[in-house]
Parts: sequence; C-alpha cells; structure tokens
Amino acid sequence: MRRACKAILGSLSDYLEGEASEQVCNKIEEHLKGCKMCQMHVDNMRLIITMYKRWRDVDIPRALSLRIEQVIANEIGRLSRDRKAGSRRARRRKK
Amino acid sequence: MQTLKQDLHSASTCADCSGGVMVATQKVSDEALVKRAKRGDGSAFGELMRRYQNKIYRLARRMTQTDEDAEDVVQEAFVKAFRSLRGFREKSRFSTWLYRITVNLALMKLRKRKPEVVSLDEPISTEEGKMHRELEDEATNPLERLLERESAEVLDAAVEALPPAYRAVFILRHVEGLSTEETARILGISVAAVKSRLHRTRLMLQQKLFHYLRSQTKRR
Ligand SMILES: [Zn+2]
Repeated sequence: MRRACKAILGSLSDYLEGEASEQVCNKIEEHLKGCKMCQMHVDNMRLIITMYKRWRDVDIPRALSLRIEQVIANEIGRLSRDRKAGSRRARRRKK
Repeated sequence: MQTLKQDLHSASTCADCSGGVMVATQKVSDEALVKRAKRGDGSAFGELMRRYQNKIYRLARRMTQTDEDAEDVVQEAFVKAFRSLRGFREKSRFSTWLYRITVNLALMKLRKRKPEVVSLDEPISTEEGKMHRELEDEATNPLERLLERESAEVLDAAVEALPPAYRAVFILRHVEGLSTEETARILGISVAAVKSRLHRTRLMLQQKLFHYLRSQTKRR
C-alpha cells in the first residue's frame, strides 16, 4: 500500500458516512481522482454497505415481542412482591 | 412511596385503546421514561421496549446471523436492561447503554459458538495488493456484478467470516449509522481503536468477497 493511500484510509469511514470535514473530503477526493485502487475500494464499500443495510432489515416477530413483554411483566411482578415483603419485614422490625 | 404499576399494557398492541395514549407518550423523551421506569413505572419501561425492540432485534440478528440466537439475545438484553436499570447512571444515552448490553450479549453468544481465530493485533495478509491488481484488470467492477446477482448469500458468508469484534464495529458504524464516538462508547474502546478496526474490517470484507468472486469464476 502506498503512503498516500494509507494517509486517507483512517478517515475513510467518516467519508463513507458523509461525516468527514470539508477539508478531509477534499483531500480524499483529490486522492481518489488519481488512485484507481482507492476509488475501487470506496465504490466497493458503498456497495457492500448499501446491500448490507437491506439485508435482514426486518421487524421483530410479533410472537417474540409478546413473549418479552410477558417476561418483563413477570419481572415487575416479582419486584413488586419483593418490595411488599421488604416493607412488611421493616414494619415487623419496628414493632 | 410511588406505587408500582404492574401493567406493561401497551396502546400500540391493544386495539381497544390505541390512539390517545400513543399521542400522549410520543413526545416523552427516553430520559424521562428512564426516570419513571427507575421509580418502578412498568409502563415506562414498556414504552422504552417498544421504541427499541426493532432496532435491537435487527442488531442482534445481524450480529448473530441466526434467528434463534437473535431471539435469545433480544430477550436477554431487555431482561438485563430491566434488572440493571437502577444501576444505569444516565451518563450516556439510554440507547447507547441498551446497544452496549445487546452487543455484549451477542458477542458472548458468538464466543460460545467458536473461538475467535484472528487476533485483533494480527496484521492482515498483504493479499490486498494482489486483489486490487486483479480487480483493476476488469473493465467493470466484478464485485458489483456479483452482489447484484446474489447479494444475500455472498454478504452472509463475508460477514460470517469476520471476527465478532470487527463485525460489531462494522454493523454499529456503517449499518446502524452511529458515530465513531458512540460506537466507541458502546464497545468500550477508544475512538482510535474503532477507526483502526473499521479500516481492517473494510479490507477483510473486500478480501473475502474477492476470494468468493474468484472461486466463482473458477467454478464456471
Ligand atoms: Zn490510493
């Protein structure tokens, strides 16, 4: 890998996400114009990211969502019972 | 003392009372819901769950790559979040905290499945030079053609081959679109480490896809 390529690689993630500063963007784009290798890498990554975002882009299954709600409801119930038991113990200690 | 509301009953899942409640809860911030949930308000935690369950499910599925493991991870993540909510000091956003729990659970699942073969400090082989040279020979980008043809299968294989720690960084930063800083906070590593892992992940992904491409060409 050439030194010039290495110099831009660190900022490439920001560049791909459109979050690099204008100065960094210019530097990268200037390099890409003259470097087919890096241009290819950028193109490939854009493609991979776009495809990957589409992949497995589904909502949580309804059955799972309901099951988790039930599990959490049980947790809340347990917590509530623990608290009540705790305050009963505290009252008994006072007497 | 605040009474404990036991109902997780949600407006969004109940046909009888959707509408009004939803509108009322829509503008409540995560922070406010966290505070209410900490005081024992079950419906506030239910609302947080509804806000994040799809995101958490997608993250878990992309990390574990199987439906079964993803379902376990999501359930464990919410139970863990519920149980440790009192210890959440709200120095980071709730979503960051929840993502962190989820990623850690997913990484644990992956660790149980098979040992991480590539060390994080191990340099990547320099096949990339060769790869680029071969890619350059083609008039049009062969990777593009490959992904157009069979994207799901190919990407599955490429991501599967990534060591879990790299997979996490790639998914959080590029798929979930989180900032480098937030990705670092979720994974508990430095910004510099995120950047270097991302760079290596990009090269690994491209290399994997290229190998796949080459084996395909040979087969034909
Ligand atoms: Zn270059």
